[in-house]
Amino acid sequence: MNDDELPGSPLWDALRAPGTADELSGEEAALAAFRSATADRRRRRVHRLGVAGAGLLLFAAAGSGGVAAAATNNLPSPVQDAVATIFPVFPKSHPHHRKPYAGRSRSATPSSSPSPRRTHLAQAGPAPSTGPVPTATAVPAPTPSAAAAPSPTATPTPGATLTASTSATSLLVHSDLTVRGRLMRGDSPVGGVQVSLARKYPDSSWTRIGHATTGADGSVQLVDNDVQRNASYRLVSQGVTSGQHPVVVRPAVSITVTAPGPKRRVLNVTTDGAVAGDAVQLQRYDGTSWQTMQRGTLDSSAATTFTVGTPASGQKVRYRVLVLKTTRHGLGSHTVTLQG
Amino acid sequence: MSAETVEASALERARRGDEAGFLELYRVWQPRLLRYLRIREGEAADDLAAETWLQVVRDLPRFAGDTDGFRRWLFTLARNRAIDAGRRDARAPVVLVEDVTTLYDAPTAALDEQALEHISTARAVAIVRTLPPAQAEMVALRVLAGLDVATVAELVGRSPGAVRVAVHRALQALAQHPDIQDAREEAR
Repeated sequence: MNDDELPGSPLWDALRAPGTADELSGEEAALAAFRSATADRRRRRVHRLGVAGAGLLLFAAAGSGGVAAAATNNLPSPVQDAVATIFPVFPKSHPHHRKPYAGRSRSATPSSSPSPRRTHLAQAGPAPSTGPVPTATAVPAPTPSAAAAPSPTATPTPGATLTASTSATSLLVHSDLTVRGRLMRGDSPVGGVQVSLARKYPDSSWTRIGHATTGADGSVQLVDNDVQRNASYRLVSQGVTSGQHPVVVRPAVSITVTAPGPKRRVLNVTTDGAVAGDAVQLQRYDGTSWQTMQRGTLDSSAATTFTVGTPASGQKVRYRVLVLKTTRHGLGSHTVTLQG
Repeated sequence: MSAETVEASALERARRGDEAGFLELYRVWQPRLLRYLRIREGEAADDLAAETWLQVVRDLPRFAGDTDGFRRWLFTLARNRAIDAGRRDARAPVVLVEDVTTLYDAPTAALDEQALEHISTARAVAIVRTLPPAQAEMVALRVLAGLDVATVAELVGRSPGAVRVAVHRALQALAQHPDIQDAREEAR
């Protein structure tokens, strides 16, 4: 093999495939950043050339920090706002932006964060290192408008960055998804600030579904305690928005086997998280790979049946049923072994 | 014009402040940058990619190289961002929460993507992530950034020989992966 040649592989083809809409979803943000930086450079050039009047000089001087300064929030408000619009990791400026931040931190004890009107438990600060994440109490979901309303206790977070990660990128329907975040200002954690968890389904807009207050170490943890469909999640705090994290929800597939006669076996398939009309496949393992034997769709009960032959005496045959992915859910699967 | 000429033109226009030129660069390299970061860093990839592009936007007018140099620069920025993020995390340890995917039906977890007839990009990223991290990164830099062995060696601070051996081992390991074998069988 030549140094600069790799042998062909379907893997490389997949890795080099054109970008998906999701991968390019930050395009507008990137372009706006580019536009802002370019405009800022032009203003500085004008300033250096000395052709500006007094008003323009002020404007140019105000913008002289450039995009680089956005990361430390040293930009004047209009410029900071432009940068915040484009790159969600940077905050929008706030009316109190230039006030010192000291003294704004509040107690971040977990007991201060849960709200009675929330379907999602919010746990502020570090979670216990052992034991499961507490489950949410079952209460009515807030309306979108109520959920999106700013909290009167929210604290502005100028100059901060908010990062988020999810406990899984793929999980079974009705599972808990934990979203962890950290609010930082440079290298310093920002505690006592309210952070909301927002969720977006493929066919709807962002909805805030819970909130919590950052702990002393800047961390926050929220749980969506019953994931039902594919969705993206992100954290939001006073104009600071984390990156978004898509999560694939796998439908649950169950199979029971009945024997209507000595030569036939019926696989009764039921699903949860899939819907009528979703495509299903029955596959058989031939010793080296899975072969598709039958195809079908889920009925109005999100169930279906497959009839197969009884394996020869003493033989075992592995079957699996796949529920193919849709925009609503990922791939679901369940495997059974029949013995003759 | 060849793809390389188009890219060179886009780079030059972007450097002069042309938005269309920048968009062309972004559309070509953002997906690959994101996949590299997903292989290297997993869930933090989106944030790191956004930060990388912000730095590109800031410093592009001062960038003086050609398209090869741009690729090297872009992935070096991303790698440095990832290393910095790792140091931040090391200083402020993240609270570990049990990964819920491990609680359910482990065989199904391997089927996150519908990759039975072909390998999806997401699945390909997941497969490369099964390699030891250093090998995975070298493979990603070779395949996604299109960097030669010498450049990868310089970037990761290893000798070209070490990179060559690591990539060779990675290719052998990947060839044994069930999904790759399935894809090859189906391609026959």
